Parts: sequence; structure tokens; C-alpha cells
Amino acid sequence: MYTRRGWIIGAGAAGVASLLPAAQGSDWTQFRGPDRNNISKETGLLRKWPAAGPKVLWSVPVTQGYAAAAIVGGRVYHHDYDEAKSEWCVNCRSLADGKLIWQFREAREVRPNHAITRTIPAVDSRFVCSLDPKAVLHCLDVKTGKQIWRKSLVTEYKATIPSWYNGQCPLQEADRLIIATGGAAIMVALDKATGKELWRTPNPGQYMLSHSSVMPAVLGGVRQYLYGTLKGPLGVSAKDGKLLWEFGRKFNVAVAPSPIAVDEERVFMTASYDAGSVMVRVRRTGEAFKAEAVFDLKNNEWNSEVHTPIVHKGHMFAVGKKKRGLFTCLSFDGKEVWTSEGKASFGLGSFMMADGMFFVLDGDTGKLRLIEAGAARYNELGSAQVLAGQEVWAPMALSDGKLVLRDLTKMICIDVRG
Amino acid sequence: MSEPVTRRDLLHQVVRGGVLATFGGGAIFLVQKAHGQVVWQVDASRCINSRLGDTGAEACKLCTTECVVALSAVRAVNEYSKCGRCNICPAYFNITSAVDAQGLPSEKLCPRDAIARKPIGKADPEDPANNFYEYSIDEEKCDGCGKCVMKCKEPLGLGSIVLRVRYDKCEDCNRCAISRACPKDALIQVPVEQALRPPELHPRTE
Repeated sequence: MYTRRGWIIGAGAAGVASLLPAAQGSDWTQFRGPDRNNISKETGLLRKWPAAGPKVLWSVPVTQGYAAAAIVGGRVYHHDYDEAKSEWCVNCRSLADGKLIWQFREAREVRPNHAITRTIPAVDSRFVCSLDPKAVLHCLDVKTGKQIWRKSLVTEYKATIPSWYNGQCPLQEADRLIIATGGAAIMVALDKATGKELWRTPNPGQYMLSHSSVMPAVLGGVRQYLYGTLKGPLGVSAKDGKLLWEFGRKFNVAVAPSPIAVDEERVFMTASYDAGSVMVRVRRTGEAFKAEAVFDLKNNEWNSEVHTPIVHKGHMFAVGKKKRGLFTCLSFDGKEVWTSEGKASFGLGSFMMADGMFFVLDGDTGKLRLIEAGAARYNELGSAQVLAGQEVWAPMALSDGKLVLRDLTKMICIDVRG
Repeated sequence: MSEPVTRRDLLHQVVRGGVLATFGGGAIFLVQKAHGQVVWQVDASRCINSRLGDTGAEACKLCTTECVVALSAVRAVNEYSKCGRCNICPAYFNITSAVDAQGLPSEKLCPRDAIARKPIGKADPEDPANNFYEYSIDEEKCDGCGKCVMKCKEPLGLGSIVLRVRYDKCEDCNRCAISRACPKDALIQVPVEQALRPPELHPRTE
């Protein structure tokens, strides 16, 4: 039976979903998937793997890094880098066999520091939109890879390229991209077809680019975009870019995870470098919004270093920092409900959810573990050594029963439907 | 029982170790020691400050406070080959301090200002936040407090800074005071030839 609260949450989720471009079938169109929640709509997946692990469909070498895939219409899109020529690349591959269909290249000098490649393009039936390491936004033709327009955030908005380069993945809606810029704006909406600016959020607070990505949310019945900065989270009106609220809270050095709305009024933000985590309640009174702390987790209480938690059935799930990366079920009160302690640790491994299961990678070894979602405890359904490691930190992408994942130097596709 | 080591082998290993800049003046001192003797060393896989999995705790300072040498014989060393050379190094900066307009923390981490940095490689004016820096530790200032070691720990650091016993400063006590105090038994006695191996050959986890 649905409570009033349940209906409000449902309506909010529907509102967020309506902002986003419709995905074809089970396309994985962008960072954290079409609904930006890291939950795939794929069904019929194997709940038990063969003794040798899921079948490897293809494997290709990639330049050292953490750049991960988007999958649309049976094609895989991902960033790469040619170290010999100092050229940044966007690759389009066949999901069926991994063969290269087209490649976009542009000269870009990048100095390896914690590897080279990062981020995930936003893809629909017409465009591939990528933010490169030096904060240049590229819009490419999805069929040919030909550049349609480009926009440097440094030139246009006086953005500062972050240490360790850009970590932001564009948020796409049906007709526009939402990008944080720092410098002259906090964030902007750009027409996807032309790159024309539709609105911008002024930046009197001098927010700088972080490594987090803009996230959609509905808070207080208002559609908005969340962004995580070194000075704390903030929310911007999806309608016109107006800054609705900001919550001052210091984060350190870099913010890689993105802030998430756990329900219609609470926003959770976590990061690394001893920053801990914070849950903020965003209250609406008339047209005004006010943010206040619900709880604040200090260093070593709980935090995620690089990945954004998944919200599922009233809980958050993520790999925490403690004890070499425990997969953790966290309540909305910030309490650990259960962890993988004594059973598995995951380093900085990524995770996603599909068909009632979590796929969680050991970021050090490349072992993939299948964990029951919604269980009252850590319940592992299976595991397989799918990659050799090291630094298996990149997010995964799932489409048509095919899971695309990578370690530092190799991208593979495995069959998880069987 | 270990394989016999010739003086030639020993000298060869010293050269390798010297290149890694992790032995300081202690390498020559070690060669002067007779083969078969043992020396004290910090096992990075046990030391709280460097072992993986111990997060968030304050750095252990027992190497500083317990050593009978006035300025502890344990010092922090940076293995350059492993260092990320990052603009914002959490072992160099106090990452919780306020940041300036360029996003750099305003305070240094080392209480004795023993870590210095200088820009290296090609500077990119378009991208100053990703220029590289060489971080060097002044051993005459370092007292082995371990703060930088704790912050250099993987995964956000690369674990390039570790605590090492400097053999030319160590008194070689039969019962090392640090070893008696260390809660993790991280001060161990190793044969001279083992002490001469590059430290990255030692596993970082137990």
C-alpha cells in the first residue's frame, strides 16, 4: 500500500525521469545510466554464473585510465588517449564484437597522473557529447563521429581545469546538456544541437569546477540540478538556472562523487580526502529554499572516495573507504546497516545495480561479485575473476545482457544474461 | 639460510639502492657492516602509517618519541619512482586547511617543514593545476613522525613515502626502544643484505 509520502517520492522520481531523454530499450546512455541512478532496467540476468565465470565476448586494449562506456543502439562509446601522438579520442565500437566503428581525435596534451583517461560521454540517437580532460565540450555526430560543435569551458567561462583533469560527465536531457563550469557561471544549459547557451547560473560565490557531475532531482516539488563543490552541495532550478539553495560545508582537495537526492527533501554528499559525508535537508517555503544539515559524518565515520551511492528501497549502497573498501548498506540516518566486512573488500571498485542484484568490482584485483540487492545482510550470489586489475575503478555499463567494464588498460564485454 | 652474498654482489645492490635515494648515507654504512649481521628496519606492511586499510586515524608517532637517538633514526623517505608528483599532494599540504584562489590548501602538513617541492617537467600555462612537482624530504629536519606517510597511503596517495631506519643514525640497540613500543611489531631485524633491497620489493600488505 502506498503512503502519501510514497506517492510524493514516486511523483518526484517520475519528474526526474521525464527530464531525461528516452532510452532505447536498455541503452546505458550516460554516466550512471539513463535515469542517472546507476540502476539498469535489464532483466533476466543470470543469478548464478558458470564455474569459469560469465563468457567474455570481447576484449580490447585501452590507454591507462578510468574512462568508461555509454551504450546506445548496440554501440559502445568511450574516451581514450593516444599517448604516442598526444591525441584525445572518442571511440565508437560495436557492442557485439568490440570492433572500432569510428574514432574522433583531437590534439590534447595530458600528463599522466593517476592514469590518463576519465569520464563517460552522454549519447542519444543523434549526438555524442563529451567533456575532454581540459574541459572542452565536444558534440559529435553519433553515426559518424564528425564534430558538430565544440566549446571550451576555459575560454567561454573562465573555468579552471581541475587537478587530475576533468572528472565531470555531462548530464543530458532530451534537447540540452547541463554542465558545471565554474568561473563565470556555476552551471549552464546548452542546446544539444547547437551548443547555444540556454541559461546560466551566476557564480558570485566563486565556485570552482570539482570532479563531480550534475545530478537531476526533484526537491520540494521543484525540478532542479544538484552539484557538489568543495564548498558543499547546491541546487539550481531546472527551469531557468536560478540558484535555489546552497549549503556551506568544506570538502577537501577534490570532490569526485556526485550529490544525490535520497528522497524529495534530502540530499547526500560524500567525498574523499578526509572530508566525510553530509546529509542535507532542503526545505521549501513558498518560492524560497533553505538547506540544513541532518547529519554530518566526519573522517573515518563513513565516506565514499570516488563513486556515488545507489539509492534503493530506502537505503544507500556504496563501497566505503574503511578497511580497504567495504560494500555498505547505509540508512538515510547515516548508520551502517550491514557491510561486507569479513567477506570481501573492494578498494575503489565501482558498482551498479540490475535485476535485483548489485554488480560490484574489486578495484584492486578485478574480481566481480554479484550481491543480492534488498537483502537484510551481505549476501553474495557469485563471483568471477573477470579482470586482472589494477585500479579497476571505472564505472560499468550494461545493455542487452552485456556488461562492459575495464581495468587500467583493458576493456572487456561479458555476457551476464547467458 | 640465506644465499652467500659476495662483496661484489653487495656493492652492486648498494648502487641500486642509492639510485632509489631511499638509503641516504646509510647505504655506505651498511656495506661496512659485516655480512651476516642484522639491522633494524620498518616493515611498511605492518606500520600503521603505511599499511593499507588503516584509515582516518592520527599518524602513529612512536618512532619519533621512543627512539633513543635525539632526532629519531627513523625518517620519512620518498621513493621518487612511485611518487605521483601531484600539484595537490596530501602529504605536502594540510588538505583540510582553507584553500586559496587557485584551490591550493593554505597550510603545509609537516610540522617541521621538512618537505620541499619544486616544479619539474614542462609547465603548461593553460593548465597550472596539473604541473608536476618533485617532493624531497630534508632528513636533517624530519623526525619520523609519520604524518606524511599516513597521507601518502594508497589509494589516493601512491604510497611512495614510507618510514625507514637510517642506518648511519641508528644506534643498533639490542632491544630497540621503538620495537618494544610499536603496537604492530613493525620494527623488525633483517639481515644486512635484505636491508639493501629496494623497499618497493617488500609487499605493502600482510
